[in-house]
Amino acid sequence: MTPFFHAYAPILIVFVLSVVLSLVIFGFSYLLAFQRPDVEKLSAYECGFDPYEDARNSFDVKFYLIAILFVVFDLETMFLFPWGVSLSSINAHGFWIMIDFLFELIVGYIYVWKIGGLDW
Amino acid sequence: MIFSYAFENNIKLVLPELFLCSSIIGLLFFGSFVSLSRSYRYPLVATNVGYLLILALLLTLVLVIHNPLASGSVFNGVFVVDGLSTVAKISVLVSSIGCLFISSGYVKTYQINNFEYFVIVALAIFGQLVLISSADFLTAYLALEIQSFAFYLMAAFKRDSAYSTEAGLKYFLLGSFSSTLLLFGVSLLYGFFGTTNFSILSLLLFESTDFKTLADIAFFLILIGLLFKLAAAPFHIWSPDVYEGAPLNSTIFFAIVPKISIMVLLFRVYGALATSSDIWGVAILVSSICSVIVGSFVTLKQKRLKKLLAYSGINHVGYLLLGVSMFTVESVSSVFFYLFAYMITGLAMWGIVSVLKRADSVGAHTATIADLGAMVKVNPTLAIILAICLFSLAGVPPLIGFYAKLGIFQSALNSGFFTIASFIILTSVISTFYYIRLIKSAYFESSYKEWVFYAPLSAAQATVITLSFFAIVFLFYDPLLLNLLSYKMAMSLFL
Repeated sequence: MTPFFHAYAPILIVFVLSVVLSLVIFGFSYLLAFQRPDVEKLSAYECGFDPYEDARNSFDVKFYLIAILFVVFDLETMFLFPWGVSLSSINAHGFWIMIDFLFELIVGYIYVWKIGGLDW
Repeated sequence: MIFSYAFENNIKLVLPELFLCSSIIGLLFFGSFVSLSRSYRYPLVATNVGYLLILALLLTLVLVIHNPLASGSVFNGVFVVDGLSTVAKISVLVSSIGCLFISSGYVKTYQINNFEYFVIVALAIFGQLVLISSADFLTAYLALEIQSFAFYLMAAFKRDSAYSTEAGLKYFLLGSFSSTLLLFGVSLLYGFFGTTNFSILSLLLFESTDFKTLADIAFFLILIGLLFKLAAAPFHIWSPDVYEGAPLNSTIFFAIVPKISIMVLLFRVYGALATSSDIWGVAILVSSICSVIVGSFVTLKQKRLKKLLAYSGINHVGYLLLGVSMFTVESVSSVFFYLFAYMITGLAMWGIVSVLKRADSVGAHTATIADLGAMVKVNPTLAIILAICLFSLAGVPPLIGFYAKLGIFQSALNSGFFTIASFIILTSVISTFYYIRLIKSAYFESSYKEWVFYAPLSAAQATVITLSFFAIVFLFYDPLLLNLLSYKMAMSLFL
């Protein structure tokens, strides 16, 4: 066993498992479920829009705003997980830097809330 | 508490940035809470936030000047404070305050009532302050992005104008592309050397010869990114369109403020990476010659005032890059001298452009050269200041612009670049033509069909224009202050 294999074996296992699992879920739902297709069911779902119309039509900017806000706070979680896992091995400096990061995100959140970005 | 001792000096060194950052948060809260409060009847707070921002910038300036520690590096060496960064920060803050003053009239006339504009401006200035102090590619990239994002927003700030949104989108697409190249170069460097710190990288490059070619490729990519941000010639296409489309108050910022901070970063990167091989001086020299050619010849065909000034900015970047490519103490100090002179002249020049207003009130972004016609009859004082500014930009002797160009050419001749220096001097003669053509239309052409209205100058605008006019004229007779400052910056880079 080379160190290379040791390092990357978990990734390979996860990759194979995810492929198998997705094939199982997709295949069984295709084989076992009752198929009663109609137009509404077969059309692709695209956030309530008609998926095959002209791409240049104007749509409400609120969709975009919500998506952006989602991405921002989603990324926050992405930073929070590794921080939470490694909290025991980082010092006070690391802890307070994350608190500062959260504080600045909260500032943005309060601004968005106040300005009405969360109202639909 | 080891923690508190360890960070005692860190706080002192980053205090200006920390203060500015907290004031930005304060301004954001102030603006959003007051402008939406029912008990105050939803007031317009844009002007107040603008003046509060100027106050915050002044206090930041005080903190920068009165920093108890002259030099040092904090946060594991990613953030340095030295003579270079102190003087550069002072000039960025002073020029931003000047820009806020001269654009105040335009902001009022064209009713930019969103207080967010000033918060975005403050974020751009914050990004530049961090950029000046960054000694690591990580900080440099983050600071560059803060500054660039703020600039994209500023370019697109006039939402109801198609030109402005077009400018913002163009700036965003091309700017993010150039950032990608820069980031790719940085990632290559990290792959080869395992660090992004400038000083460690320079040591590694000095010691080992293994990765020299690969490091050259990485530096080439980083250089492209930086030259793009500077609007140097092969990468200049965005700048005239963005200058033309963006609202004037943003254009003033793009033209005057960011050059010095990006130039400081370029010097730091150049000093860290490129001293090991000669090819980078050549690359910057090629870009310099291209910029001078584009800036001289393309400008001859421009009718719009803002586009003309954008191309003349490309021309000036060409002269600056000539100084960068030699990278001696003399040339670096002359580059900073040139930047100071360009900044001072730019403040007066754009101040005059911001008061131009056509009678049909389409807005100053459509100002053409013909709009300057009969300026001498409408407002003779402004006409004189305009003429002096343009002579200074062209480099005519009894003005500060002459010394700036002289310093660059002298250091080029001392380094033995005779052919290139004479070529660039010849193109600078061509570039004199369009400056003098502007003076001609202000003094000797009078178009009575389209009479141009000059908005009355506010006290703030008049102060900035007059002070920079004074500096343009009198710093020629005693340029000691600028000499000392630019020499201090150059020395702190080389020592």
